[in-house]
Amino acid sequence: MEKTMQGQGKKFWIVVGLCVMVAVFLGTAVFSFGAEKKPIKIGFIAPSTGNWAQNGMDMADGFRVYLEEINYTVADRKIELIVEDEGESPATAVTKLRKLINQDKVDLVAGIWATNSAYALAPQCEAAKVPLVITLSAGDDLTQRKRSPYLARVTFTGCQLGHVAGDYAYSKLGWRKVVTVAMDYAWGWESVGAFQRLFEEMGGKVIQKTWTPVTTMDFGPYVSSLNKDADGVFEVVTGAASIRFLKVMKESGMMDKWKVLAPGTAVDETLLPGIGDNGIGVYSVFPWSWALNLPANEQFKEKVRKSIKREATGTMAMNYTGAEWIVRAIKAVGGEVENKEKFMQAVRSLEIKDSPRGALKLDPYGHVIDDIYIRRVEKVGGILQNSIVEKYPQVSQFWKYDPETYMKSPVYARDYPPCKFCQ
Amino acid sequence: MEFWINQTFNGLSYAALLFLLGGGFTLIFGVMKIANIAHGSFYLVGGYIGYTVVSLTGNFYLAILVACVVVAVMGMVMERLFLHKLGGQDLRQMLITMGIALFLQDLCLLIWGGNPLNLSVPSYLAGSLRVGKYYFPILRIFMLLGAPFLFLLLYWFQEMTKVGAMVRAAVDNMEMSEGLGINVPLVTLGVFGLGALLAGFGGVVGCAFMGIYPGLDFELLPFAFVVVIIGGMGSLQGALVGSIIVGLIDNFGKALFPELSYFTLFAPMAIVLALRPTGIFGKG
Repeated sequence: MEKTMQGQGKKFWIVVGLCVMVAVFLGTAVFSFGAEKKPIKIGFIAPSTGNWAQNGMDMADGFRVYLEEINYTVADRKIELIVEDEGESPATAVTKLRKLINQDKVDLVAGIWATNSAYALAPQCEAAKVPLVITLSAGDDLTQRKRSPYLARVTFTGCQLGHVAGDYAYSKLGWRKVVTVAMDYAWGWESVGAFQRLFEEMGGKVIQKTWTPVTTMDFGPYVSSLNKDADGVFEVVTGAASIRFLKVMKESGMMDKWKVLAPGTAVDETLLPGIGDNGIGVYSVFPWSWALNLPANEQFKEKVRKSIKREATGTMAMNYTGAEWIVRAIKAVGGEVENKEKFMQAVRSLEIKDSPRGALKLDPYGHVIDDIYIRRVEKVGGILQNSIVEKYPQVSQFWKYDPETYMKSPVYARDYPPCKFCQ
Repeated sequence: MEFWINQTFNGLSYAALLFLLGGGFTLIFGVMKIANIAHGSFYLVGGYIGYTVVSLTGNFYLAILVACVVVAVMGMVMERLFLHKLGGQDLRQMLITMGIALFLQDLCLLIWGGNPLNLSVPSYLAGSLRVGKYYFPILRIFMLLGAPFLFLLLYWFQEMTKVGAMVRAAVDNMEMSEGLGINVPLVTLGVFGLGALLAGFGGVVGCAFMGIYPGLDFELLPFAFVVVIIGGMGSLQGALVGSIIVGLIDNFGKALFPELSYFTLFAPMAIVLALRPTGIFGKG
């Protein structure tokens, strides 16, 4: 008797289980029929550990602020953002990218902080035919000699900022002899190379080039061996190292003697509180500033305040516009991101007139043409900011050179252009 | 001339910071015979606590005091809870310090965020002393004077006091010391706390010197290794000499051959390991 009861019990549960399964199956079927479209998966790669952890958090925050604004929905499809840690080395980034592509089956990839990671990830995306929209990292050749139909970059790159810096140093700061100090990797090489090319073509001389390892602790030895005959210093030091570098520059009296010019990441709003008064007077070149007076920028800063209760930084601004770029492109193809050729075409042909950075469009090689600002660190009302000094409207990565001729010479590197005037 | 004076000054002031890091590291190694992987984390936590105290009260010396006490207590708790029970099992102890290092790193990231921070020192320590065409940052002078003083203090403690004699006895032969009635677990606990304290002190000074940020702990750890390997594991004099050698070599290496800065840092270590594996002052 007991046995049969047990048997009946079992049967009962099997039936219930089957019913549940059928219900779930029907439910999802009905649901998916109703919504019809799957969510769009965006893989996002940014450092959340290591030296650049804060920058990485700012990247994801900036990106999310825009997605929140559109309620994670575009063209009737939900957006699912999957953030993965880029870490400090390209090797970590590559592992995470593989996970995004193979396991999560993302429709496109965005983000990327470090230039060397970008160089490692771009070929992987191209091989897997996954669109990659870089929303921070530089890397000249990604949109030049090694360009890919699956890649677009809506932020900035070393040569773009370096050319502007070279022009500004010669024509406005009046420098004739310059020393450079830069981190010893692609970002430093490309920025310095571009600076040197333009500066020397105009008639200036780069008399010393110093490369510092990415992990430099004490900049004392580098700074005290800089050639004192120079009129100023062009520096490409980013992240926490920038704080130490500027401190040593100040303490060794160099800041009283020289003006300092740098790509904007050296004095990004993320770093300014750490840099403190040591940074006052530093000139920098960047496509955005907190102090930029545009209606769209004011709105953007307000949204950031409301959404994440902090002030906006350059890193957030880049990723906010990056997210807007991607979403508008998805809208342009009616949500059909699966058609990758069509989607990339939409990405490439998009134009945004009123971004927080000003007007943006892409060149035929996939890199943005945008307004580049010369900024100076100033203390306004007790808070450090990058005040706008000058605007270079609609700057191309190729400056005023013809792209095809430009790309015949090699990419800027440690030894290119060679240092003719070094002693 | 200008070059040599500037670079020597820089090198020695960097050596002072390395001594704070390496000194504690070597003390702990002497007694426990393990490389404390969490040593960089002690430095990191010390720096962050110092930063917080300075931002709240503006008092640099209070910051040093609080950071030293907190980190020393933290070190002692860690020794008692995790390392003590594994007495003698070096490998496991080291793995635990590794785990604690990772844990502390993430904890700091959680509490203080990823932004690089810079501690502001009192106005009389900021700025530079100008002698002719030379600029000497006052903070570096402070470190240059502070480190030898600290060394003398530690040396006096280790060589001249009764407690110091107990420590030396425990370093030489643990069982024999116990047999003589020395409370070895207590000595170990105290030395671990002292080592942690030095790292915490280094963290506050270092935070003023070059800022602090997540990841600094593991960037500094190799320097502590090199200092202690050159000077000799477990030797206080070794840590002093090692840090001066590493500070100067690192500095002149960077200034003279900037391309070879890693080579100039690690080459002396390799040479010392090959010729005298115990380090300059190490015991065989």
